[in-house]
Amino acid sequence: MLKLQIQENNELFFDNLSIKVKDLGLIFVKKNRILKKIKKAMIAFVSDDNLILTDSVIYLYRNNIDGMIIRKEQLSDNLKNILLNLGYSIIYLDKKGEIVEIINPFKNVSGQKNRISVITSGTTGIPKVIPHSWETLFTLRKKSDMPKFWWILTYLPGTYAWYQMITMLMFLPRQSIIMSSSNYPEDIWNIGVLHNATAISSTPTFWRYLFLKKDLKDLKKVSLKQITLGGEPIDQAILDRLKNIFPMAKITHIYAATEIGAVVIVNDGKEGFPIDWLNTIDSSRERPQIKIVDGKLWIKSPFSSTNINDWYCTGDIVEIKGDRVIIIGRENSEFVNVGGIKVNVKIVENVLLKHPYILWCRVYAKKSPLVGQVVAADVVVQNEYRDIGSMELEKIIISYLISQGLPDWALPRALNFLHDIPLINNFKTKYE
Amino acid sequence: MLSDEKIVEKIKYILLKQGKNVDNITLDSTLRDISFRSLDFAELCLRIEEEIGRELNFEASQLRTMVTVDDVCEFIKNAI
Repeated sequence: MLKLQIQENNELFFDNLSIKVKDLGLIFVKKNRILKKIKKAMIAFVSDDNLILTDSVIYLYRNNIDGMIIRKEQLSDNLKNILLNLGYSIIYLDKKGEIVEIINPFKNVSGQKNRISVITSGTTGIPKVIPHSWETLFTLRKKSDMPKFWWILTYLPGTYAWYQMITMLMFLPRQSIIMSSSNYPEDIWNIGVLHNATAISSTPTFWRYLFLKKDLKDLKKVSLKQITLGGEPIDQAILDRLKNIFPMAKITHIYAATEIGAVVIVNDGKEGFPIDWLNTIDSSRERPQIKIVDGKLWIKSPFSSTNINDWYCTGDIVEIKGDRVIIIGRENSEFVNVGGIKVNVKIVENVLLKHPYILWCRVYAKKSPLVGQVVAADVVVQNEYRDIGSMELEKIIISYLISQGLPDWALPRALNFLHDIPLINNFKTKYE
Repeated sequence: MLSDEKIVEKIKYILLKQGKNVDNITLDSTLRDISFRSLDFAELCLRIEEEIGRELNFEASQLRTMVTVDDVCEFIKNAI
């Protein structure tokens, strides 16, 4: 087992508080004496407090307990039953870190050493428990020479992306995390300004939401040196816009999945990844291997869940454009059936997002007489163009789509201009 | 009751968005001449349904008889 050294001097900034890692993961022992009696157990800590969940996970590491952390709103009856059947004790914690309830207390179940599990709902909506080790979660282990950064943490506790950030706080020298008690992008940003952030990791939707709430002056208050993007397909429009606002920042985008880890890391400022990265053989097994089969991305990763040790079909559809592999979207992405012609919503979205007026969009099917379905789109326009009337905007956008070669049947026949971006957890775009 | 003028206005808007010329559209204009196609008609129906708050009521076979803008207007008024 690779022993990971905790970086006790790294700092966590939580709202106005500053806490060293050496003081994290220890709150429980002081507040909850019952935990001292644990000899063998598998524990799922549940809370709605971001700091308590962070403290919980570090506690799990320090005591080598097979466990996980779960946000309270995530714990459905379905998930609860899954965990109880697996033998987990479910411990509810309040905002002070005190235990308020234990379900299935300490049944003397032998968990597995060095196992930390991540809950994902994937594409089906049914919760899955994905077992990892601390090593498979710590994908940045070769980055020990990374410069000192103060990272804004935008991800929700317990998500795979959140673990990337927390393991960086725990194990990578010179990395500090800035965290907010709020999960709204504008609040998270404000805390980042307060603590002089120099880096951030988030989804493109987080940024699009932030562009609505903050003007350029507010954004430039943070001197970002590193911007990392992930969690959704990354389009060229967002990369270009961020480069324009933060010219001194290195921009990285990552393709990752809970099951296989962070596997494709791109720093060249272009969407997708180089075609040269396909089909490379790596005898050291330290680097991911990538191939395309029937238009879908397959990956063999050294950061896979402990249940996966071979090629894994990601379910993501890709296409080759010149010397790049572009990730289009999920295998079961929505298609609109327009009179028998299937239109991939992602392709329409990608074209829409290239328009300078459009900040965010969501394309879907709308029931229609005669042809069964037509393409519809919800759009959020950049703040500076909101004074343009919706009819004029519609003309501009449709004209643009036609100029980009979108065929008649792929044109949105219903365009709705929304005021705000509808969000789901971890700042990903919500699809109805 | 939706007037012919309102319906023609919607037809013109749908075509104008696509960069088509709408200057000479009259009730006698043929749908082929003004390039008003099945998807454009589907969009017209959607817009009208949104305005009146309910689905239009028609048989698909009735669509075969539509040749001019006036035919479309009559069709829509009967379907409301």
